[in-house]
Amino acid sequence: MNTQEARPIRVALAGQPNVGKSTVFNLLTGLNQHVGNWPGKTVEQKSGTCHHGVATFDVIDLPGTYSLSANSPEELITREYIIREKPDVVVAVVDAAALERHLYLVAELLPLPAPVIIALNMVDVAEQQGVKVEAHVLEAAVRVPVVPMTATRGQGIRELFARIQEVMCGQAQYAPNTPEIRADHKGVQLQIRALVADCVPAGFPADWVALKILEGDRQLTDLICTCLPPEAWSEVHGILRQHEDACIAVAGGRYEWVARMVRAAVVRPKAGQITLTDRLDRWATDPFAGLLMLAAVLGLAFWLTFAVGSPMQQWLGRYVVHSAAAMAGQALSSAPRRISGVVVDGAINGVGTVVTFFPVLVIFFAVLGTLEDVGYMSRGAYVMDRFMHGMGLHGKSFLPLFLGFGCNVPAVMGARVIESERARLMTILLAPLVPCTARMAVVAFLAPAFFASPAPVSWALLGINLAVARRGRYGHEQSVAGRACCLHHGASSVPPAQRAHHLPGYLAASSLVLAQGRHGHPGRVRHSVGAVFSSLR
Amino acid sequence: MATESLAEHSRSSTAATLHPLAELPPAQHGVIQELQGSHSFRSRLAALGFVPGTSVRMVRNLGHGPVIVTVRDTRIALGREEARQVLVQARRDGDEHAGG
Repeated sequence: MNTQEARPIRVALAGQPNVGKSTVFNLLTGLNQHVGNWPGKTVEQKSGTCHHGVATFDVIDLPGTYSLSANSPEELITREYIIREKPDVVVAVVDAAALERHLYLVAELLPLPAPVIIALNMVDVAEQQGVKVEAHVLEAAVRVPVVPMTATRGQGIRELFARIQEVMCGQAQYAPNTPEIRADHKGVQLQIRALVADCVPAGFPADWVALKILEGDRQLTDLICTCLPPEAWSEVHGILRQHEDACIAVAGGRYEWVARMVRAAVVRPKAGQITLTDRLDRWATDPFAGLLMLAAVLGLAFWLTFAVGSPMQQWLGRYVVHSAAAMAGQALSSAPRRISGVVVDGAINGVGTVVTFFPVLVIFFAVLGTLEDVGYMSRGAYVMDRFMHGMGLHGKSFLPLFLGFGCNVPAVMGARVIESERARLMTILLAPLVPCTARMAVVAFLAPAFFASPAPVSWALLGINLAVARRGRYGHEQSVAGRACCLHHGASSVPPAQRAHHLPGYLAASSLVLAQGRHGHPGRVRHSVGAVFSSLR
Repeated sequence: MATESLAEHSRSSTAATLHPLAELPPAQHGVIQELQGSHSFRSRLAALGFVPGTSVRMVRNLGHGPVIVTVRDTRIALGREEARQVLVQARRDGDEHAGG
């Protein structure tokens, strides 16, 4: 126990988006969190510490990813962290209601050099849907600790701490059932492994590197290319060219492993049972009803944000900023105008105006976070996809841009809900072109002063703005004529090498995982609020 | 689960014609036979669960724009271009394994 007291246990949380990872993180660390960015990346990094018994835990929240290929910064960050920083334990948060999909990430985590604990979250939701997961059976099959949890109600957190400490005390027994490549490609993997084994950088398991290269992982392939002597590399390269379809054998091998794990542990409802999600989806993704639903949801979001936020904003402006400015003005009344001007008009009034947006942003992010959590964002994005393509954007860009009609500030900040870096940047750049209410007022005020018939001019200005926003697309389209590999889902991006000249064209080819929605789950709001605070700090 | 048996099933009826997933009508089931396109695209789709031998169900296909399919219990929206590069063998409703 001495070593544990001296050194905090480093726990990394991994999981797919929408799995309640942030709820688990908040539960583990409470308010004791630090939010920043991963070095050199625009991906949010959250870390925190907590004490349980005598032990101290340093918890780091890895970005949500579906797999660990080098397709997006999130995926790269996750695997680089595990390999280079070597956390003591990786807690893989999985959704009990969609175990098959979520175990895929576990299949990717197991070959990495850190012990894995499976946090089987949302057990309650699974039970509501009639899916029963036998945690001990899963544990026996995967041969890693499995902790059933309902993070929204705080259930299972004690057990999780206990299992983490268990793993820390007796690491020798950790021998997971690791997935393997499909049998027909096993020989090829061994061949590559033998070639690269002596040259892989420290900390990289050779088996895993061989597997990833076969899978077509660009980043690792480039890395190995620089590490290997030329003749060995040409041999590896030859094997890779012969086995171009190996990526399917790798992913297939993982899914076969997942199927074996799930088969014993999961008792499912009768096939063909129509769930609430099915029924809601019929409406939410319908080309017409879906639009109406989206309009209603957005209307409500808009209304909530501004009807509740604006009065609070005015109140803040009037009573906090204004009175602070008045007090400072009095205190500095004898000071030279230059100094009082900087303090009163510049610092207090200027910065204060920005601060007054705080309530609007809090409400906005709470609404967005809730929509994301119940799985509506991806549905709304699907419905809007057709229209947003016209602007070379992703369906998810719609909500922030729409909010821009009220105010551009939440529009730009709201762009953070878009996972793809490219789409996020495009949305941020286009958001200021959406005429907000304040700008409309200015247009309405100035137009009559210069033009005889102000109404058409106002509309024309509005139209030009939107047209410029639309225009954003064409300049790029030529450069993306040759796009071939263009899938991106949820947390998605193209391999770094192709990033520069593929700005929004890729967005046209979107594929998003429609997370199994968990409609009307009141406990989940906590997560959204957590997200609100982390985004504002 | 049903993956292996489906793979066998598809191997036994080899002569059947392949269709792009984008042409699969709503509510129809199909078995993925082949992925086309670049290496990274296939790798990405495979990671999403689009592995040959896997059953897919078309949830929404309007004939234009993105489609929604169910693969391994998850609904996934695919751009039409992507859905064209996944070749499936349509299955009669009689022998469905539902959901797959």
